[in-house]
Amino acid sequence: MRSTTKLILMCCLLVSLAQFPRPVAAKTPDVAEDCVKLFDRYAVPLQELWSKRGKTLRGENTDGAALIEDFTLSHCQDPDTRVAITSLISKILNDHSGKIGVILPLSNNSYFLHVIRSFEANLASKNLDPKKILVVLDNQGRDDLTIQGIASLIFEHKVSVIIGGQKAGDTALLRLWGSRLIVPTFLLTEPPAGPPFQNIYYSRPTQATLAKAAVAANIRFGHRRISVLSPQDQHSDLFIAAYELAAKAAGISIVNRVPYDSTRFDLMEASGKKIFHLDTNDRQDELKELYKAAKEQAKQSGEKFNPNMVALQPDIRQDAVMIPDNFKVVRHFAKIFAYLGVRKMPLFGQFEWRSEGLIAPWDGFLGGSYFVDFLGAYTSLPAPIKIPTTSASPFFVAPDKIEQADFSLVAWRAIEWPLRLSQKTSEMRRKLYRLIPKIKDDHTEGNYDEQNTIIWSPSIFTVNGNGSKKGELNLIGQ
Amino acid sequence: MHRIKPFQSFLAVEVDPRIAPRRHDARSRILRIVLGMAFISSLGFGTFLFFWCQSIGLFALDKAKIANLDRFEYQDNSIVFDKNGNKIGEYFDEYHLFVHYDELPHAFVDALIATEDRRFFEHSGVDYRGILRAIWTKIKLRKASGGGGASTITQQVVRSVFLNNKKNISRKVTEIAYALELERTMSKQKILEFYVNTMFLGNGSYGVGAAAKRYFGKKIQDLSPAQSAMIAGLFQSPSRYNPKKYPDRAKSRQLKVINSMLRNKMITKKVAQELSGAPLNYREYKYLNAQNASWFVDYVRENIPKLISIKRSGIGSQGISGYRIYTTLDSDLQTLAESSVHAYDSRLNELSRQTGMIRDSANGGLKKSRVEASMLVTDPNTGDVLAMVGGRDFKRSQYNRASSAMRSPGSAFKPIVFTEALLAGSKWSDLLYVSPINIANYRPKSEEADYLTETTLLRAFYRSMNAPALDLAESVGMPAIISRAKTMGVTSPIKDEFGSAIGSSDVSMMDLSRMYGTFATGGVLTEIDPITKITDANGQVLWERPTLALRQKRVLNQQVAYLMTQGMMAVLAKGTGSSSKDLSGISAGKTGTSNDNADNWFCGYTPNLVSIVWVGTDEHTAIHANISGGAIALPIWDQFIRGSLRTRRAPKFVRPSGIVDADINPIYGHLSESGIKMSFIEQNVPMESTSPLEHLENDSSGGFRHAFNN
Repeated sequence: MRSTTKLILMCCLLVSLAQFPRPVAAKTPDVAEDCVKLFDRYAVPLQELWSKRGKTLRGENTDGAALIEDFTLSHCQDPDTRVAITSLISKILNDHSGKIGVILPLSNNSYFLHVIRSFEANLASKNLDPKKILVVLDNQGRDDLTIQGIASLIFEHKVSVIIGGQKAGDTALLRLWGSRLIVPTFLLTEPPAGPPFQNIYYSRPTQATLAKAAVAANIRFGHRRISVLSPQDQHSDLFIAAYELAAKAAGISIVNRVPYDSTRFDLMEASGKKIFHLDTNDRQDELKELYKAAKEQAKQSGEKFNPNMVALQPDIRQDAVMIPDNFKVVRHFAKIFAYLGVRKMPLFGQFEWRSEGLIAPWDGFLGGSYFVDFLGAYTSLPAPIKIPTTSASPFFVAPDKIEQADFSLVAWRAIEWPLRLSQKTSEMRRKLYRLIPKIKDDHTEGNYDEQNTIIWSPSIFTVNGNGSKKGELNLIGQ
Repeated sequence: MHRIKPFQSFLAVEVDPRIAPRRHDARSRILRIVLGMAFISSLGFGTFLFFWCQSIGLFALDKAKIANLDRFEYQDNSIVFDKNGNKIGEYFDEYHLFVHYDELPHAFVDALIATEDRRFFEHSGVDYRGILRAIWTKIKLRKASGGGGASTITQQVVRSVFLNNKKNISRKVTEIAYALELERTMSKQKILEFYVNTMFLGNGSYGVGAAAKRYFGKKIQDLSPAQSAMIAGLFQSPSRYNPKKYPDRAKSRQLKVINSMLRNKMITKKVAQELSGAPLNYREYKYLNAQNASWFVDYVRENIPKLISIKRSGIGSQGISGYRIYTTLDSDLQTLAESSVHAYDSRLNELSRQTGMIRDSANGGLKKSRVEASMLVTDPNTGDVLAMVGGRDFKRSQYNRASSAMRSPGSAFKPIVFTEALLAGSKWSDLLYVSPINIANYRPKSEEADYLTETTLLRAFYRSMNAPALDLAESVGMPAIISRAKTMGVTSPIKDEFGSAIGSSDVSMMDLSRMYGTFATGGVLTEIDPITKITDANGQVLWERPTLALRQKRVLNQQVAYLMTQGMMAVLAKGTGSSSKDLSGISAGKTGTSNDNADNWFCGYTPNLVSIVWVGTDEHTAIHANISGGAIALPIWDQFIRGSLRTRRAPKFVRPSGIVDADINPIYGHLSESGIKMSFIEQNVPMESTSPLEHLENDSSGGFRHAFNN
């Protein structure tokens, strides 16, 4: 940077600093030491972020924040530049425009458009202009674009909060930069294990929440011995892990946990056999006895002995079987269980069950089964994101609207606190998060608990036949 | 002593010349005594003769018997005609072919007269000269029997009709009396006609018409004089002179006949020589039955006793005789059906090498089964049997698989199940999850490839999936299915078990023909009847097929019948019958395969033609080849139906009112522009334009409801 430009910028900075409280003393040797600490903690990350900015982000668009690039640690020794450094850092960290930055892979997944629409709908419902408040960036699911987006939101737009996070990569980056720069960050993913960063929040309901609801349902139906079928693609592992933890805490025993591959019938059948102890090797003697008896019976009745009619009967040691997979897999398992000779067995699962496909056409085997979901009746969705139901039931919408509803509801709730925080422009940004109450053992939906996770009450549905070709869902509680 | 001539010995009374001159009175007394005794003896003899004649019934000849002879019903073969009146078969216990006197060749009559009764046209029933000659011959040969020839043709007729073959004086006298009476009441020509039409002439033939056919393959009118002489020679002893068995003896007999003709100046020496040297040209006669529609002709024969009470007539015959049986057979289609089956002979032979083993009755060892094929073609609108192929080779096996075999229909039975489901409110677009099924421990095997998939009812039907069919059977119940099968013409008993839903209960081709015919007609069952009319030889109608109205019955809702036809058109268009895809526009049908490929079926139809094809072994052995889905029966049907279309137009299936078409996703059953056309009853059209399952399948964004999962 040329020295004249630098001088002009410096003057501007000094003028502007006069308007802000002076957070850092600059006269004593301790003050210099504080400057060094401040530099290490914030200037270095800010310089790093600046260095990873996109080509379109220019210094003139940053209201002087770009100067952070030129400071070095040695400037802390010079009282004049020391003030400039501390002031600049303070400005970048604390000043905010009242805007909400959003970074999502919009071009990768059309569902995130529903998130933006829901944000907009929420703001509109409060008579706010989304265009003035939301700064929406598309990271295309790429890490480099995520960092560029963060840089733009911090240096250029001076957003109050950031919302984003969809994949592991961008979530980690948002978490990293949000925590380094103390920007209130609301992520739309499952929280990681371990203690949360103070200003990082998780706006999507967690699997643990759902698992606790499933356990509550087990207890409600008196199902205390559970078999767990776990999909081999691991997509439900979080839920299963959370369920096992919650079940153990509630005194529910897991009889067995059997993996399955939902792409192959033989493997699914094998999993079913394992669940009900139908291994012919383990029960060889019993099978021989059955053959003998069947032969004898055939002989007595004068009929031809049919070995296909001889099969081990299932050894039922569980009250219910958990299948945390979609309704299609559930339905096929129901058929397989019936084929294996299981006359009745309550099944239960989670939100993936929620589909008209679960109850139509009706399979009587599913009667008495249940599942837990984050979403209750579609008719209870906030009016601006309400989606018409497909039938008389309030629990179903058209298949292509299901995920719209999910994303919309998550987004609707996810923007509530960011919006409140963003309106506190008089507050320093790095302290905004402190305005969010930490709630323990409360069910105020939309608030956050001690783990910085949104509070969400799942719903419990039962599945029953009603004498017609189509079964029905009943919402029995939250 | 002078030699007494034989004739004189009977007539002369020898008187001692020494006594006569000395005792005149005594002589006179003796003469009176003698005369008295002679008178008394004559009187006694006369009385005895009178009573004897009376005891043998000579004074009370049964003239009614003679009169009846004039009205004698000749034993005649029954003749079977096809629908166009062409003769296609004949039935006989004894082979008869009636020939009028006028039709008899002159040479034959001469030969017969010369051999059997040379004064036939001169005597009055009894040839006294012949009798005397016979007696003389007897005496000359000093034999109690032999030297025959005394019986005239009239006497032979009398003997064969009224009397027995005992040889005693009373039978002979009665025979003469009847002969005289017969000659008095019947013309010579009629007597001769009777004679030549009733006498056994060997090789199963009765009468000269039959003999001419049997030995020379010709009508009697067409025989050469030499051949006529041969036939004429058979009358004396048909067994001894049977040309088939003893050609040398027969030839020698023929020469004797020719000599007789020469002796009687019926022919010249030159002609006799020519006849003697003329070739006889024997030709084996093939029965019509063995040439055309053999199984059909047999099948018709089996049906006749159900229609009329068989009369007993003729000479010892108790069979079906003298009838004219008019049938529904279409000879062109029959030829086509036979050629369609034979076109696959090499493939069937190849399959015969891949069958299970059976016990060889000849040597007790093991051998492969022979793969057979049969075909039944009917007109569903009339109940006509148009063609029937009961097997691959009638000579090898006369067993009629088309009419008599009871076989497992496999999936060919499924239309009943789907019909019942549609009647119960299901529709083609209904979704089914395909998984194995267990109904009261019955766990049928099925194609595992289908498991873990979903399908519409229609797709399950045209791809012939077992598990969905059993699902439906379980939902509608076996009693309803069995009842539906009966209603639609399946008369074989269907077992009340779920295996029957996928064709484990044996049925006949006739059952399937009626069942598929009901679909073809849009729900009307027409009784199958191969016979339209039975008359006697004179054309008097003995039985006539009831009118259509009496043989038809609506048994299925027209709309559901149409939906099923649409389903079976889809079998050809995109299902297990798709190797005949181009026929799907005009025909419909269903494949069927039983366990271990023991039976392979294709049951196809157009609105006016139902064709059932079966391939399998008589022993129900497995066929270890990939012939599922009509892989062998279907091509035979295909060949047949294409051939039939050349001459027999296939009209379009009638679409009843109240049917609506829609484009439907074939797997998930929702409305879809890229789907396939399905038909629905108006009130039962699917409304869904999306499917949760399709959405699930197409969701590549990371799993169902992944807003909560990633």
